[in-house]
Amino acid sequence: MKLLTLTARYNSITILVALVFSGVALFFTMRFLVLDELDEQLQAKVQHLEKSIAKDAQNQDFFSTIQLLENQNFEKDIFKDTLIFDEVQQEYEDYRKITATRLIDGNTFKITTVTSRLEWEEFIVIISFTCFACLIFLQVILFFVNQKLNKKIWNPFFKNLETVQGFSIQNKQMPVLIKSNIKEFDEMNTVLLNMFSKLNRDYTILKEFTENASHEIQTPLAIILVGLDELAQAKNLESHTAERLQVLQRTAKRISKLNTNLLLLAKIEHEHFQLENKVEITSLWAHQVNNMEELFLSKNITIKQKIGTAFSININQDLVEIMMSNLISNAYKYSKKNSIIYVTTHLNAIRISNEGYKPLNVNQIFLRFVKDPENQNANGLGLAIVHEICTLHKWQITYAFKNNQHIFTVAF
Amino acid sequence: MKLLVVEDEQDLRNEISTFLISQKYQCDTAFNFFEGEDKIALYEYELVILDIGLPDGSGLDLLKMLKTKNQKTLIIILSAKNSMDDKLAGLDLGADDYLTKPFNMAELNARIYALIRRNLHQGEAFLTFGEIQLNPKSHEVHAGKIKLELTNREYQLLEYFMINPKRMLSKQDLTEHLLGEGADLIDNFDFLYVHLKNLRKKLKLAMGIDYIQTIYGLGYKLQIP
Repeated sequence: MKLLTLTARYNSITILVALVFSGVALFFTMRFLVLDELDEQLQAKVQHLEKSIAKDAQNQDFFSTIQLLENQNFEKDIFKDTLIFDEVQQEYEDYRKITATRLIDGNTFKITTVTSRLEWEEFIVIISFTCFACLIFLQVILFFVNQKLNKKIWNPFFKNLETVQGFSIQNKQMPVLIKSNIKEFDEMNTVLLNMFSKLNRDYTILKEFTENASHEIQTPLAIILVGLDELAQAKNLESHTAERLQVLQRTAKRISKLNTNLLLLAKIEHEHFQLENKVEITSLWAHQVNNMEELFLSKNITIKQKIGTAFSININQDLVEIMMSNLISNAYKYSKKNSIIYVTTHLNAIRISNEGYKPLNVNQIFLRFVKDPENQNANGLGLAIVHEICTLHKWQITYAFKNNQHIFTVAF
Repeated sequence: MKLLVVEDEQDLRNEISTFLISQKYQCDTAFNFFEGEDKIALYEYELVILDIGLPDGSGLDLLKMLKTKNQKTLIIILSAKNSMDDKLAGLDLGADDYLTKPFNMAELNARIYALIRRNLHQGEAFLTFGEIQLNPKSHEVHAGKIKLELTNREYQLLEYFMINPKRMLSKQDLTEHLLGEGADLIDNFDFLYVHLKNLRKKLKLAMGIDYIQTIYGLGYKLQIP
């Protein structure tokens, strides 16, 4: 979920809860205050009545009663809500009633009197409503202001996030991060920049190492191979010398290929292949197969292609091509003459299969340096490279042996 | 034809220059940036073979300098495989071709020949050997009096032989000439045999003899038996 959505959601919930509580609290507070006020009024009325009793004046108030008590039980003042039928309105109205015991001139009187709550009720409702409305209004304003502020505050973070996401180690440029006056963001910036700086350094070191290593190994190999080639030019070579020369050439070539492939594996592992773009897999797969068509023809191998719906993914094209060519070359190397290979795409997967006699050990074939015992000249890295590329991108590579076919499938 | 070879590894440098001299080129050598710089300043070279993996990282600088001094100098860069960046940088800066190490001398020879033919328009337009005449521009081949109909691959093989006559070309060499880096993907020579066999058949049919000779298990040589 997006940050601002989350903060907005929490804001809303908090506001809502606060509003409800405030509203309820406000209502009860007002009610309490009003009742308190009423009760005070009632007590004042009682006092007033006391005076009139003492003067022995007539009780004019319809709503009050005065009773002479036999016993002298003093009770505390009791406040109660009561309903009195109003003749005019023809309905029951809310009143607040006090029942008080007073000692006047040696006699105990029970005095009750009431006062209307209705006006106060309306008053409470209006005040509560007004306050409540103000609250809501305030909260809404605050909410929007908050959102804007939040956006503004988080803006450097969002901008930097975008910048960092676009960072490519091969650009060799340090990302430019926006400063803010928020301490934590600046700290994050420092950490990120340090990290990127280190990444760049490591990448450069590794790149130089791999390329220097490559150069340092390939040049002596070039000398060896050129030397052997010149030796092979000699006239009247004895056959066993010629044979030996061939073996040496083959072996030197093998070292060269091994070196190349090992460096490729290192580069893949260290994510040197960063540049990505949209690649249409189905046509690329067909293209790679067609590239090797000539070779298959020379072994009289028929290619049967079945291309499903086209699909594309965002990936480094070189890597995909390497993976595909290794898969296809594998099928080529281990196919017998005059056989058929099947090349298909289906949904989001590619598949190639070639004829075989018995199943390969799926736990072994993708490991480095494991090769077909009949083919000592292979360096056993072809499938390891395929596997490495697939692992890096979380593609699924599977091997199955069915109907005497070695089937390799890569699901993207 | 004056050539310059800039390569820091002495043994390789010697091999290359010896070979080029045997091919009747004039060949100077340099082992680092400074010597290269001197030689370039002093002389005019038609073609320079430059190792861009020079240890002091200066291969590309030398390339830039060459291009500045004389736009027309042909440049072949040598690089180790996997140096994608160097290779691309080199071509971007104006190198005309590249070869990855290890490479075959015959291949280097063929690349030099192709560049010179395309750019300098010197010498004869034809390659001849014995009864065979090959026009590199039109790809027409005559053997004896007969025009040969060759496939692309057969032509490529024949042209390669004719640029390197009387030289044993190994099966590996020939396959790499046809497939380039794609040769890494195969490990037998069926592909080569098929095309070579057909080529030899056609030559024998046209001339009565087969100029291409098998040398033990090593490879093949174009020579008049």
